Amino acid sequence: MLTSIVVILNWLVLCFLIYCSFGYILLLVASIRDIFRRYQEINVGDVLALMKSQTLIPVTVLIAAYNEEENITESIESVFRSDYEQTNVIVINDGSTDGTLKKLIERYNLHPTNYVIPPLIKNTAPVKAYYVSDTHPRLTVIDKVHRCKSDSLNIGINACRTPLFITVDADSLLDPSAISEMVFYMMIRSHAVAVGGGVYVLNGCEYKNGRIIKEALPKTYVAGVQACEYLRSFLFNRAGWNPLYGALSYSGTATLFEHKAVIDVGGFDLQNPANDFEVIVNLHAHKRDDDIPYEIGFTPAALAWTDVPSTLKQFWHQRTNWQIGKLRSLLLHKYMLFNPRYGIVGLFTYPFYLFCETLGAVVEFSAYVLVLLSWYLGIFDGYVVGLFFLVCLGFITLLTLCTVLMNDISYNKYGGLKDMPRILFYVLTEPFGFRQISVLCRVIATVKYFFMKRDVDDMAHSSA
Amino acid sequence: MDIGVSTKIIEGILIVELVLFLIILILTYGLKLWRDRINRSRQAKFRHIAQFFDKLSGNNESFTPNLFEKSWRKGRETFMAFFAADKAYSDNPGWQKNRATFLETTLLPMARNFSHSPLWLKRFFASETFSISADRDDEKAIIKLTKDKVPLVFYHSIPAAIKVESEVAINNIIDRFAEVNWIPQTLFLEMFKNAGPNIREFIVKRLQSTDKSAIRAACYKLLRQFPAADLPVEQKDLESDNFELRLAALKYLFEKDPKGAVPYLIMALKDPHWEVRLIAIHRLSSLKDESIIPALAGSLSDSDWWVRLSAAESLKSLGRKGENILHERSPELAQIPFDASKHISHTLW
Repeated sequence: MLTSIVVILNWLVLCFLIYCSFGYILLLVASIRDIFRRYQEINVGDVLALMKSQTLIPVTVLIAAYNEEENITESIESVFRSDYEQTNVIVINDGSTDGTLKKLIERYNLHPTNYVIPPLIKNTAPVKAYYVSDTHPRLTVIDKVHRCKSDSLNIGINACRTPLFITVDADSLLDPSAISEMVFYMMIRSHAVAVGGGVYVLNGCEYKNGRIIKEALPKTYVAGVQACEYLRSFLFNRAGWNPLYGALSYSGTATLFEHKAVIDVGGFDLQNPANDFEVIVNLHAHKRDDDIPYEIGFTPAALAWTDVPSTLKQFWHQRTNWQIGKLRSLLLHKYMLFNPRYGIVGLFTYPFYLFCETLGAVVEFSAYVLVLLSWYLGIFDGYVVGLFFLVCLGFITLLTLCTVLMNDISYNKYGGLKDMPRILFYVLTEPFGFRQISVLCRVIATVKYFFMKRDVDDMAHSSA
Repeated sequence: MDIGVSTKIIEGILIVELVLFLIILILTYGLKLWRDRINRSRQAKFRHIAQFFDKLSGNNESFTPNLFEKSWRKGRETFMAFFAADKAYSDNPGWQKNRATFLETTLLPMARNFSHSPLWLKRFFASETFSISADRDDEKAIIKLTKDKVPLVFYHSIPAAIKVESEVAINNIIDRFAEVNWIPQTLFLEMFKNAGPNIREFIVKRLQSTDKSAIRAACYKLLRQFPAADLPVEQKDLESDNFELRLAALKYLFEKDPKGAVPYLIMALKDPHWEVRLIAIHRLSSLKDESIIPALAGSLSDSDWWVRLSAAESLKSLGRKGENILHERSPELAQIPFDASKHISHTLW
């Protein structure tokens, strides 16, 4: 009896793996044209010359900062270096307890002023002060009572008076052409409401005054593996969704939004640690509910660099938050699942994100258990079990290698031939150990989400 | 399924993966080397052509096509080097003297060939070349480029269409303009800034010949890029169901005749769409006419925050009488120095 159940479960897992693999291969194929088109546009098409006009749409960069004394000025300086002239910056200090605000006041000659922030998004934490700069007229700093990142961004949205805004993390740097690239991408689409940019790992790079001096792979193993993971995630995964109205997830590190569209969906969710994920799902749902033509896109040509966890403990914490945030968001919008009213998003994108990207970790974990159980019950011998693991993990390695290849022949962010052995080392070793840790982390987060609601609420509140 | 067969299948998949792995690995290394080689050769070619242009700009001799090597007439490097030189030597009399001849005898024939290419980069270079120099004979190619699906090709064909004054091409552009939202429209409008009176006539003709509200709205928006002229705004446009058409017609009407637009602007303060109400307030307040204060005061109770804020800002900007209205509503409201908002850069918009 047990053997029959295990055999049936094995078949189910196999079908699931085929479904996911098929989806990823589709995304990979769909992304290739887009990646090279964007690459040629910046290299030959001179997009930047087209984006030099003073009369183009102004953009506000929102930077939510909580205890970011060390990084905040680097992040702001990187925005000031932008070649898009119509760029303003609003930094929202989320009640930092370190010297973030003091550093900002001193560095940029800030002085408090009176200002009305319209309550376009309601229930935000009280604002303590509003600062403008004598030396940097494009910079505004809002000091508020500590609550969470989503709340800071919502206040930034309320204070923003440009039709477009970009969210940038306080520990991230924007490439000088990133804003131009994102705005350009928005301009070449008929009805784009959000555009995500590619994110690379900052750990290991040399930078000064917001400028990357030397692009390099991270030195620690944990960050190095994430550099490959980010390549996989941002090069083919996001770009592959472009022909299908866009992915459900773009990084909060660098995403351009239409101001009004975000206000219409009520801004960022205060309870969700993956607020960037939630706002995109919400935009899809809202636009489709109201039958408003829209597109959400991704351009790998817009680059941002972000600090990633350099220890396993930090990595675990971050991925737990992401998993819980994604689950919360997807289940909040469960009405979209296989719902033809939501078109391709309801029939393909949402199910793929739910089953492969989010619950995929649980299935993968079950697969490990089932295969070992099958071996124990004598359904498979040790040889087949070994083969099975090699096939599954080899597939992930192949996908990552393909993105490394695409990166190399396009944006080529991680050096030349001499960096190849290190990249290959990360690509080859990631599926054996690191991936299982990541899967375990996401499984535990999923269990917590469904069975330990109180813990999850506390965690969400502290990290959202 | 028999376990032996399953094992064989898994083994097969693993072998395929290993082969793919090796192929990708070799490709990665191979392409790196190949790309570096190609880049080096392209850069060398670019440098040679750039040096040629440098010489051309420096001496007094006239350019003759036989001076330009045959192998340079094929690749993208000629276009890239030409546009770079065009920027660098814009004030150089030697360059200006030879530029027109080079365009006429070398670059335009290349662009004409490229305009039919299935490769978008070639069409892009054709479009870019036509955007700086084109004659009536190129109209057919430009019309085709204004239908191009690749945005960079299409956008560069707009100045080309304006240059050759092609009515068909302008109509293609209007159709495309009407299909997209306000964000891409910004880029279109930018390109129509220096268009001549004939282009205006094409747009007017299109406006007068169509009933489609999206096209009519597009025409009004484009017409605002030209000096105001005596084109009557139709009442049906100001009362259209399409808010974009109402808004575009209202903006056009105001630019044509600010005083004459006041009754329509006051009516627009009651428009169901917040954006129309907002624009009506902005336009009314720009007249600096105290007689509109009662109308603006009504907008202080608007359902939309932006409209209320704009009404308050406008009243403040109208001097003592406007401020008094704010005082009457709320003493606190009048004390808020709205000027503070001018410190921040968003006033750009």
